[in-house]
Amino acid sequence: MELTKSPGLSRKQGASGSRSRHRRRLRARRWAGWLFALPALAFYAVFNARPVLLSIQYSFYDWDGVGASTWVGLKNYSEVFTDSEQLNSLLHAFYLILFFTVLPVLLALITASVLRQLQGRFTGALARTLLFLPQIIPGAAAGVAWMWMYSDNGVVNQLLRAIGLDGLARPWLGDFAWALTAVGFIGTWLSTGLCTMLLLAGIGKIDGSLYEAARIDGAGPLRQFWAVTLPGLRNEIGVCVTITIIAALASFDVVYLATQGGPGTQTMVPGVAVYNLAFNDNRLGAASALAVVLTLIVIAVIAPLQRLFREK
Amino acid sequence: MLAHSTTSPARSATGAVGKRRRASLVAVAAGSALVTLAACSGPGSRSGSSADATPTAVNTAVANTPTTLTLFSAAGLEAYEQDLADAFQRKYPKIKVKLRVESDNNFNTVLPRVLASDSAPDIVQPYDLRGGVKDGLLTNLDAYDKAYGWSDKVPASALAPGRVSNGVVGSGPLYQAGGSAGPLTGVFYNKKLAAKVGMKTPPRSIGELEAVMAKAKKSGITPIVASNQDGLIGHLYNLLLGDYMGAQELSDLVYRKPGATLQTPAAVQATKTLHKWIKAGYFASDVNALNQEASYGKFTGGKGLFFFQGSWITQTLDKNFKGKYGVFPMPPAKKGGMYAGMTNNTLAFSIAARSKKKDAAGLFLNFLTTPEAAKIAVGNGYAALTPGADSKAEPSLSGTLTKQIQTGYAAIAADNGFDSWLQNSAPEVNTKLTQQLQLLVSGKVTPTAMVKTLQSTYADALKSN
Repeated sequence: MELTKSPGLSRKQGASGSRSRHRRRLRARRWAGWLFALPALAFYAVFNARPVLLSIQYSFYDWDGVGASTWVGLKNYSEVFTDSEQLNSLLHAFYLILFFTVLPVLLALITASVLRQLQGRFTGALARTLLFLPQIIPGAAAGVAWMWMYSDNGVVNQLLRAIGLDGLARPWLGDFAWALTAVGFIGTWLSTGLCTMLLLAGIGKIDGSLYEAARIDGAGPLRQFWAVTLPGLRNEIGVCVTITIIAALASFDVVYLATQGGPGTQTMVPGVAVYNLAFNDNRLGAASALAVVLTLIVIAVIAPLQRLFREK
Repeated sequence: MLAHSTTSPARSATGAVGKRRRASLVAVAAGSALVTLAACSGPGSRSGSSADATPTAVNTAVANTPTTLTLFSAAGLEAYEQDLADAFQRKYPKIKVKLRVESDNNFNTVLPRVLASDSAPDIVQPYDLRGGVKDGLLTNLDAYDKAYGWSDKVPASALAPGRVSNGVVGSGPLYQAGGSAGPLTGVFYNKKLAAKVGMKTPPRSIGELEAVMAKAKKSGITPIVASNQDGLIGHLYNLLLGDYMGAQELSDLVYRKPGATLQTPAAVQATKTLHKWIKAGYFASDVNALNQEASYGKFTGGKGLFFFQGSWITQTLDKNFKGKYGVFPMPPAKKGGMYAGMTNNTLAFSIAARSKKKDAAGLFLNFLTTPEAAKIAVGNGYAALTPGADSKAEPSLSGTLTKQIQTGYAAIAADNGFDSWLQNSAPEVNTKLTQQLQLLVSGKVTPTAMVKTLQSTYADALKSN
């Protein structure tokens, strides 16, 4: 959205030329900029802004999606916070952050640090490819694949039985206590590769002389990691955290394919709940209200993080 | 949905100019939001379709006017509906019937939107008849009924589910019409395993069925194949509800007859029976993690004795398994009691209110009342009550699958035992039932609490529309 500007130039003009002429020229330039952005803005307005505004409008109505609608004020919103099913779906979304964000970022930090040593070699390329593979597989396909792996005779249970942990083997996605965690690990598998690639790129940008200086000062690999790698990756970690938290809070495809929110409502997340309300229950208003609340929550979580990870 | 751009240095260095610009942007956005909100009073206000939803003058002499009808179909029914279309075209070569196919998963979801669109199909089998009527999406067929005389040709019980009046199904104006054919929902069984446990005749009561399952369990055979990730234990649950409540009482509930309730001792007893079978280990332990596709594989793979399903599965099950399974109707609660089972009229269709070829579509509906159409339904795994059919035949474990389907269907018909799925009473009940059945399997809800939850969901749904 930000238009490129040249602060140096305008400051000089503001000091010498007449203020009004400067302002006029600035304004003209500003409108010219808008003209270039117009096609994109039009698309944005039609395909992004309009649906968002319509959702906000629908959220105040009781509407089945086709017939007549009735204005219900804030009723749909109060339902989001009083209906235990919708409220729980929001809590589940926050639990998923642990698996979509915390675990992948930690794993990616370790992997990226290790891979830094392997860079350029064949094994490094192979490791990077394998790690990034989950990223090019659609979430929906991953959901189906994991359904098989988690099934009673799937790979996960076969492994557990092979090492003598028969007691732990179970139909994971149908298990009341473990389903949400099982779904969470699919998210970990999906996000880790992306985070690793981002962090690896970030490490590549860190000035090599910093590591050299640290080594000369007697810093071991661990100390190098804390003093050089971690501070240098501040931006990239910010990006990882932002993307994966949004993926966790707004998750839909993986959960819908793997469990559809079941058993019971153990893995119900807001995305699936919105879908159910809108397309199964034909309650567009209630669905829109939950979607709006979810959007606000995502913004409320992401905005402070942006500030935190911003480069000083 | 969200414009999440990564933090770039250019972005973080926001000056005063940037702030002002942002403020004006917000103003523009807020302004357009207000305009949008003010422009229309509420969503869906435009819905009253311009087309005539209640035709009075009907032209039955349309067979020689060339035209093309569109039939909106779900993928699972494509083969069957294509057969109907082909037969119709053979009889009326001037009128073409084109299928427009949507995947099974999406069919129910997109149907109301497709019917409300400018390119609405002409003929459709509505999933939610009551909702379609409420939103003015379907044509009132009373004038066609009078012109073609369907009420005289077709049994009243077959047309009743197509009538809607004031949000209650079963009487009033006709919206869905045709012949009479439908699936048999009952007990499919693996012939080899049935022989192993010594089942020689179909069980004649729930008690006898239970005895067979107990025997199977003892000899290491899983008694029931089912999938419950998608809540399809619901087929068995509905059969039990029909058995204990009686077909009429379950139908009243589904069709929203005033005063109908699920909060009855009979419904609780049905739920307790299912609960007992769960606790006895009659289902595989991973039933909550299985979907329908996987359960088909388990049944044809010989992983269980019984499969409570509808005869539509005969079109999908592995063809190599043909001849290795059979079906009998769900036995009555007590020996000598009444048969009950869910069905829906698969030979009755509706005409979209926005269709511009209603008269030609009416001719298609009339074709569905003919014996030729009934024959096509039978050929596709459905049962039809054809005059002269042996309606006294007792269900047995011998004979072909098609024969078994026909006799099972006839046995239920003879007891006036056709009812419908509880989840058809309201979309919200459908969503809730799946969850409650999963909770019941996990032991997280008692039968009494489950019935109470379902009843309150039902009552809420009735209140809201």
